[in-house]
Amino acid sequence: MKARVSTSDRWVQSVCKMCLHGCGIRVHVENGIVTKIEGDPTNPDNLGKLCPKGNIGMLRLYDPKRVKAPMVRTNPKKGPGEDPRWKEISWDEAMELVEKRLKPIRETDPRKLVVASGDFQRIFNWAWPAAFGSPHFFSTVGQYCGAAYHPINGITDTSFAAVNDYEHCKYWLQVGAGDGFSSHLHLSGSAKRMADARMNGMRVVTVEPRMSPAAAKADEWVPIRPGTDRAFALGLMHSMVLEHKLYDAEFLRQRTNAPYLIGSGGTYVLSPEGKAMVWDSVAGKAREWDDPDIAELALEGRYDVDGVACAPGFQLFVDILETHSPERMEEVCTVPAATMRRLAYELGEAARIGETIEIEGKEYPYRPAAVNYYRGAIAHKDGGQDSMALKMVNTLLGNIDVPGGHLGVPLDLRGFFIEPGEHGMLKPQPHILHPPVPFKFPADSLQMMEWFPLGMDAGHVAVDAILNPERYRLDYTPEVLLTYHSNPVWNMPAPDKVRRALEKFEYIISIDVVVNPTTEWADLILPDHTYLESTVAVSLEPPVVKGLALRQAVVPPIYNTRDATEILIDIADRCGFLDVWNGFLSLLLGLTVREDLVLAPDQKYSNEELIDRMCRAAYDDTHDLEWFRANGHMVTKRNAAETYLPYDGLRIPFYYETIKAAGDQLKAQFEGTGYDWDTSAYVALPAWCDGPIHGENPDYPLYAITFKTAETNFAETMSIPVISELTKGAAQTRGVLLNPRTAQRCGVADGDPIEIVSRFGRVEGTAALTEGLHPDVVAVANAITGNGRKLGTHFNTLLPSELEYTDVFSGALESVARVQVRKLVKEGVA
Amino acid sequence: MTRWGMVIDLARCIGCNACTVACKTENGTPPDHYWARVYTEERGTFPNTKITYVPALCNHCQDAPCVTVCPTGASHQRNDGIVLIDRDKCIGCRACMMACPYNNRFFLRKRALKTGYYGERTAYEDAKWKWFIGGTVTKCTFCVHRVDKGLEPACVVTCPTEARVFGDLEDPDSKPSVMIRKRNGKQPLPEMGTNPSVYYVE
Amino acid sequence: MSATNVVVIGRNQFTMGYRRQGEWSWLITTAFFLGNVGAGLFLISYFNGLYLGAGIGLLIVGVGKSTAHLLYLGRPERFLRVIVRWRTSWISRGLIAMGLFLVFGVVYLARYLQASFVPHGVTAGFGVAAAIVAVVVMVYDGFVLKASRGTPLWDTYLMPVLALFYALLGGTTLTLVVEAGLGATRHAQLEWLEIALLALNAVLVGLVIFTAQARQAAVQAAVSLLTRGPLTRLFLGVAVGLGIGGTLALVGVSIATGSVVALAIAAATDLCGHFFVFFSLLRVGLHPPLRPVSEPELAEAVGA
Ligand code: SF4
Ligand code: SF4
Ligand code: SF4
Ligand code: SF4
Repeated sequence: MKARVSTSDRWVQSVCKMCLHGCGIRVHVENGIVTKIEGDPTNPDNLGKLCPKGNIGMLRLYDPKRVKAPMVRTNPKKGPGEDPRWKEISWDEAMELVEKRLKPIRETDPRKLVVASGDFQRIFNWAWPAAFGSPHFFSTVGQYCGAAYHPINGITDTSFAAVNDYEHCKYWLQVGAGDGFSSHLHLSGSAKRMADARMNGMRVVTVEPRMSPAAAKADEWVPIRPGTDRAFALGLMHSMVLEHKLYDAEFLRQRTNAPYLIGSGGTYVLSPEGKAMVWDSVAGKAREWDDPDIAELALEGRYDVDGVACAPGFQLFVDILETHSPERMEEVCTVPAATMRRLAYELGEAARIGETIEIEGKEYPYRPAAVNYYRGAIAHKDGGQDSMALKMVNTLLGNIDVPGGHLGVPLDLRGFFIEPGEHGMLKPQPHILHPPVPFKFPADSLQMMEWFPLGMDAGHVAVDAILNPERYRLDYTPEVLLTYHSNPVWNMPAPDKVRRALEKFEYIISIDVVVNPTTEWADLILPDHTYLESTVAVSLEPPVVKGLALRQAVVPPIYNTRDATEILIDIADRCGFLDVWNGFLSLLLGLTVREDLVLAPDQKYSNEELIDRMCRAAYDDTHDLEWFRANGHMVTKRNAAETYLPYDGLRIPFYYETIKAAGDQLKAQFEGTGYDWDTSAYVALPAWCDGPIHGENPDYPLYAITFKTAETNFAETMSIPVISELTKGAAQTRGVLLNPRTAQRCGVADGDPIEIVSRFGRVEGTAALTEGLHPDVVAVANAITGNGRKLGTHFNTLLPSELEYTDVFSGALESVARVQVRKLVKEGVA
Repeated sequence: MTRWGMVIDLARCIGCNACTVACKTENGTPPDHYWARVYTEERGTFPNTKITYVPALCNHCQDAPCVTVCPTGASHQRNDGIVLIDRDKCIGCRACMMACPYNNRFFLRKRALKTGYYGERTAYEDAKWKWFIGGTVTKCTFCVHRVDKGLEPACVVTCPTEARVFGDLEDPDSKPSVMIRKRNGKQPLPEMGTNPSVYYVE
Repeated sequence: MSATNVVVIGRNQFTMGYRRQGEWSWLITTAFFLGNVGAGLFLISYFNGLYLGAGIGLLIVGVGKSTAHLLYLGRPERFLRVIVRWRTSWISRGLIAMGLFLVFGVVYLARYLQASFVPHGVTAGFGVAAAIVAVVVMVYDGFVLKASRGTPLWDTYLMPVLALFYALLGGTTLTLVVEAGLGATRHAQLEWLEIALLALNAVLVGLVIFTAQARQAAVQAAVSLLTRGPLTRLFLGVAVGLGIGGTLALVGVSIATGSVVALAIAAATDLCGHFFVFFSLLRVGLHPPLRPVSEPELAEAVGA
């Protein structure tokens, strides 16, 4: 057969952006048209594999709904069903309109600009509002997923995310997570690693309300009532610690603060020198934590140190566990006590406490059993405690950051932020997305970030604040909204409130690729390139690799679009803060490592210049943009030293004193303001308490949950017809999932139109019955939230956006709704 | 002689549908045409539920009823076992669709080619759909255009869990042959007497 | 095994279950039906020396059946290609037979059309040939169904037998009508043949239903759609009840009273029944699930 030799037929290496993670891809371009996308086999991250979303990326490029030029609204009336009557204008005109709106705000009160951003691969642009002087966040960043996860990870071991060790784990307890099966970190490569591990005999036990792929492939599925995973973890730990005595006491003594003495205020007992104290059970007295004479650190017992009653943090946790018997937890979470006991035993046995392993010439503890968890388990009203409880199962097993255990994953190229903290501890890093915002009353930011010393931006609070300015003591009125790859009408809870908030803005500017339910409200749309037309170097949450990969313009832009980075630079220039923004960019792109790469304050750089500098700063002058264009990436597997105990010698928290102390400080800061802000969520140890969605509720007997699938997780794929066509027929997404017996009780049959009603909203859907669902549950895939369905079921409509349902420590929102389900009877048809 | 075949590892497959989509983009198949797809099979009652994801594609049957019934010779089998449809010969009688026990054939309505996925054809569809002739039947080609170049089928290459394994069934040492032997590979619906070249292992 | 609970999934539904073939419907039923009754009419008329009947039979096949086929085909302009695969394909064979039937039949009728340039012996010979290929036209669609391994309900020799006897029945019915239309004396044998064929077809249809128990699950599932599913009314009510029962009664009345009206109505009910027997059988053509669905545990009732 004759090989086709033609310059119009080429494969280009790049990076996928159909979700945020950025697997390596190779893109086939024939006669200028992108005709195929495959995984890049040279990239050790995804090893040539590619999930369904990555495969269909070209339809993002060729979507007829793309914004093809800057457009301005000519119909002043906004809202659903109102045709904006878009008029195409030139870029110059568009940027003048932006300048006219933003320059006066920048010069008077920059807080009047509100920004909603969602472009993870250009995460440096998230700092643009701060450079402008706008402190707000009006979108979703973690409230249904990682808000309660990232701070706990960062406080524990400076990681951003975490996942079990695919290579060495032998017993994988998966709680409310999709890792390795359907979603979360780098699905394509993770699925391969998970499958290999399973085939090599790793046992998987999956705890979740719905039989997701993770449960379907598991050796055992443990159905659980939604929002009660912490109860399960506490019951499990009760059995591990008090019944089986299976926990790694040595690890707790030597590598955590579990032996540190805690006083009645919940914080460390300090020596006169200000050092944390421990109890030496041989000497029978308290010593400073680093006293070289310590013979044995006590984990248990109650002591008196110079008249202060105290106990090791571990003892305090034992006290909590005493009251959390598996029987009591069973009543909450429905997992049989016997199952919790058995799993506790299996997990503890599989952890091989005491064993070590040699990897790459170094000996490490070997703990091949771990709990892996994510949003299903922790996106709740007490998410901080949920996250803490599940993390602590791992800490008890001594498996944090050791082979076989639960491993931290850094946010990006910067890796872990390892610095010694106080008292021999690793310095906690709760703020990986942006620096902490100092306390201020009243707050400047709409999401009250000044009042979340450890948490993440809870965008839904911003909505509440715009609608109730007095409640939050706002002393200014927001005027302009800029959405940047963000769709708050769709992605935030209580969309009716979001719409009402949108009505309050005088002007809305959107930077986006396609029109969506939010851009429909915009006054001006500035179209960005798609990922196949633009260039940026990426490294985001890679579980097992490190290094930059280049997402590059595979084809020239097909419409009159501009790179979002350049749009933002242009606005900065027009509004007179280019110098500030260039300073930010120098930091964020890592350019400050070399004097000659730092941006000049008043020069407007092109996106390509920035990326070129970013690459050279990360590596050297040989590895510039041109090199990356030709070679694709610098991704390599992380070695053992980078993966296992990279902070060796520093202790990690068992007792989350940092959180308790932050809460105490916040409480003190509020004193005298006369403002009532709840700080009770700042606890150092988790315990069970009923949240707003727990307990009997005759009006709303069922629990509605949402879930992600491989076709739609972390992505904007739903408007892609291939994906919506496919998800319409797929078992988990063909409708709203109900257990057949539950359906029968509600008088609903498979295929019936139904309505789901919560206290906060009402949605419609089509019933799809499955035996793979807890009978208390209604499960709504994110894939069925609208777009192209006769009965779109927008799950977020069922959710509140009130503080009462928000974890005021982390910013997590209760993402389970109590609902009732009825067969839909169309009324008014005579 | 070569006999191309595939083994699908049901223990590995996570039902992600990457294969489904990769097949769509490799071959540019129009709406409703799912040469590769994944069924969800549910058994048992809560909480003793068992869910299995079962990927499917044309089995390239060695005794292919679709070929036997085809009146035009459009459906034919190559010497290496790959069953193909000659789009220039097919008259769209659809007898083959009745004969295939596995739902692996799809009738392409002329209208579908006009409207495409968005109601208007995109540049991508224009580029891809040169392949297709409305009014004929389509099916999985085992990615013959790749296989003839020494590449593996698109659904195999993309599969994140490596649940689809492609190779020569005549060669006793090929990966699929070994898997079939060691893990007791089973052909789908053996009672149909079609002798599929696709095997499943659990 | 009971087949009351049958999971029938829709087009592009990716759950495991039976799938109804969605391609062969009205037009293919029409083509099969017209082929049956056209060739049947020709044959019965031929034996009765009824040239008009034979001519109408030819027209039904030549115009009706071929139009239905052409309307159905995805690429009708490539129609001639069907003759290529006569070695394996019953469609090929059937349509070759149809072509020959039309040619032989027209030559045979030449005598009747006073085309005296064709010698008598030749036309008689062509008559015999036309009658033989008419039989092929009558039964080949049964073999087409029989060869459709993917729809196990059809994969039985009962299908060609059913096609043959329904074709004979249709032919007889139409011959009676043509004769009545010509005002000719009525053949008692033909009337009794009609009754016998009705009874025989009732038995054959019964066999399709009752032998299902002994066949594949997919057959039982398909039959349950006929007897307890969405097509029950059409199948049991119209195709069997009216088509066989009703026709029997009407033919009886017609024999007893000599009523032409009763005969005409009987013809209508018979043809209607004939059409819907095949329509129903086509519509419940179920493809089996890729992996056998073992019944009640995962079954969900559909239709019914
Ligand atoms: S790509 Fe692989 S794992 Fe995913 S559904 Fe297909 S066969 Fe299964
Ligand atoms: S539809 Fe085409 S391929 Fe199928 S049997 Fe008819 S001619 Fe052959
Ligand atoms: S699977 Fe179907 S289409 Fe493929 S060769 Fe077998 S019978 Fe033919
Ligand atoms: S072998 Fe090729 S044509 Fe067949 S299902 Fe796989 S990707 Fe599609």
